Amino acid sequence: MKVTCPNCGLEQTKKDSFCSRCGAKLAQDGDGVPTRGFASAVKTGRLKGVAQLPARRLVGSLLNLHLLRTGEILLIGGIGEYIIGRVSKGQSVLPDVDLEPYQAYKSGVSRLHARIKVESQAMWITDLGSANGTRVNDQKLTPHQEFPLSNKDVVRLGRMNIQALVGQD
Amino acid sequence: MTTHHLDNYYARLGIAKSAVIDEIQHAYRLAARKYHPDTNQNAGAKELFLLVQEAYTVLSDPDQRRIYDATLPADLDAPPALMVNTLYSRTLVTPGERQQVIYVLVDLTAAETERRTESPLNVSLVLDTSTSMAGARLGQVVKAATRFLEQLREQDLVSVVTFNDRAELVIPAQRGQDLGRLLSRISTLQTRGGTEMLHGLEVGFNEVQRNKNANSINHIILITDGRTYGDEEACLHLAAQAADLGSPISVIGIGEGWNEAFVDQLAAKSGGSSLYADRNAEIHTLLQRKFAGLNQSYANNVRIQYEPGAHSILAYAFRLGPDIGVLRVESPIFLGNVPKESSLSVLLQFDIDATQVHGGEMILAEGELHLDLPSRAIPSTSARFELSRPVRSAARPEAPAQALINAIGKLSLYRMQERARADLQAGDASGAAKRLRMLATHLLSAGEKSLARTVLLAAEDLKHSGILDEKSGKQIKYGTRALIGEFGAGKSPGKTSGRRRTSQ
Repeated sequence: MKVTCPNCGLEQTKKDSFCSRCGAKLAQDGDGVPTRGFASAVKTGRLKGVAQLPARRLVGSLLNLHLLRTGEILLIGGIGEYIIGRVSKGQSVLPDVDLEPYQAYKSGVSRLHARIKVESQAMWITDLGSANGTRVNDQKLTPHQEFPLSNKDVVRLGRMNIQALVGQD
Repeated sequence: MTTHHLDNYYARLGIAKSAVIDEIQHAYRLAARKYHPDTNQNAGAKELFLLVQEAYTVLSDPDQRRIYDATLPADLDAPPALMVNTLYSRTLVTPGERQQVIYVLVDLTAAETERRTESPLNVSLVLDTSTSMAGARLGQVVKAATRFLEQLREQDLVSVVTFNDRAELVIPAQRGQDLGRLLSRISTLQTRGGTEMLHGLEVGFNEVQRNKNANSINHIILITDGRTYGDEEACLHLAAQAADLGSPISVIGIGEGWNEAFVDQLAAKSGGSSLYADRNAEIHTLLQRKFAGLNQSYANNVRIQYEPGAHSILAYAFRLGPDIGVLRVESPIFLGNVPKESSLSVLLQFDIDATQVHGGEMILAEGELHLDLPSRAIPSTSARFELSRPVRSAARPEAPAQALINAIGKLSLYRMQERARADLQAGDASGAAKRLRMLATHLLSAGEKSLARTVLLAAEDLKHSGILDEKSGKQIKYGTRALIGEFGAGKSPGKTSGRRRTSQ
């Protein structure tokens, strides 16, 4: 009976409690359902007979950020939550999207500026109490309150203009 | 001064400026068939269709056409028999801004319906028979080559070259050979010795060179699983020579041992493509795809000779279809071929500096587009072109075309992997591991679980050992490349239409 280490992927005999390479705890019988068990069951189609996702295809819509000043387009991703900000030295909580290479500090972007949530049918943006505020199409957001975001909306983080663009398959 | 915009209404429809109304209508009907959203499900097709629609609306109305013609230079070049459509990521360059990026998508599509006469193939199969190929691997190569030979038509010419420490011309290119004898000839291939690519390529190149004529589709297909030592420079030199003479080299790499950085370079330098078979059984599929691609070729040896504008640099060039792959950015850029049914689409990224420019037109690049149309009496043809954008502040933000967003979004996964490799090469293993972890996150959110897993494991290994494992390196590179997928006008190259050659 082989078991695969959830951390490093090394295959080993099941009687070990910890991975021989990285030391991570190996799943044992009776450990119960992992936290994400339900979601993965839905995705792999074991529930409700959902079809398997086809291989080698990006599924669904992907959010991109279009930096209006320079014209660069950054891929953000599909369904999920993304914190937009910049990385500076000695910072403990890191944003998912680092705008520092695009002169974020000069443009007044906070370290953790805003959060964008991508759902299957909608997108939401929340200002995380940033110093210089967040605007969507010139409308100022109330901090910590979700605001709907649509394709081609222009988001202003401090003085930086970015546009949310949805790419389709 | 704007002289030869690549983007003009005549180029969009692939017609000359002197075209009469019948020709315009004919071209439009053909373009509509290729780009119409009803027949073409690709995400980018809709925008290309609108470009064609716009061109037709103006050109089909004599008054509007007269006004439009007056804005064009007198000596407008249009590449004959090719629809050229260009999408820019922005309509304007912001004056005074230093680092700006403009993406340009160039789509070249055949502007003629398929002709009855099919161009003959002139192909050399260069097969690696070094010791590492022994067993099932060589068996699969022989199987693939057999199928390849069986599908040839009477007009086609194929030679088979094997190489290990030395090269051997197993089957010289000759017409009217007995198929049975050819097949028995390749079924007895033996493996021995090392991998010396140059000799094999030279023999293959000479065979193709000896038999080429104005209308043939020339190609060298190299199948290998190893890396060549010491003769890389000479191979690249040969690739450049082959490109100049219109004989691209495409490579099918098997397993993990081959040097993909070198092979990609070889393919990009010669105008060919590189394909990755991670299992032996895929060799056959890939060779079939290559064969179909060659048979479907409408224009060959498409290449761009260009000068960048004063404030612009071509930073990145990528072919989105028919074969996905990085192109070189130095002039001349070899683009490969335009397929009959779908299109050749290329994404260019220009980095520009507009600090010194405050108005007028900024030239991104200008030069000449060359190509060979084998179905023509005089195949070689060319046209001047210019890529440029006006410099002006935009009144309100504009969104780039959907086709561009899709292409750039997907390409960025591949480029993340490229940057990780660059970091690693510069000695920054932890930086590379960080990038790979980021890539894995993106892949997960895009629903690519198994590839994400491979990337994550590779990132862990990289962090501990400082080395990117050969196999996962290739899986990541070609996995993210495959995600870019089919793009632009047309469907994926369909089943081969080649008729079986009758053995006499």
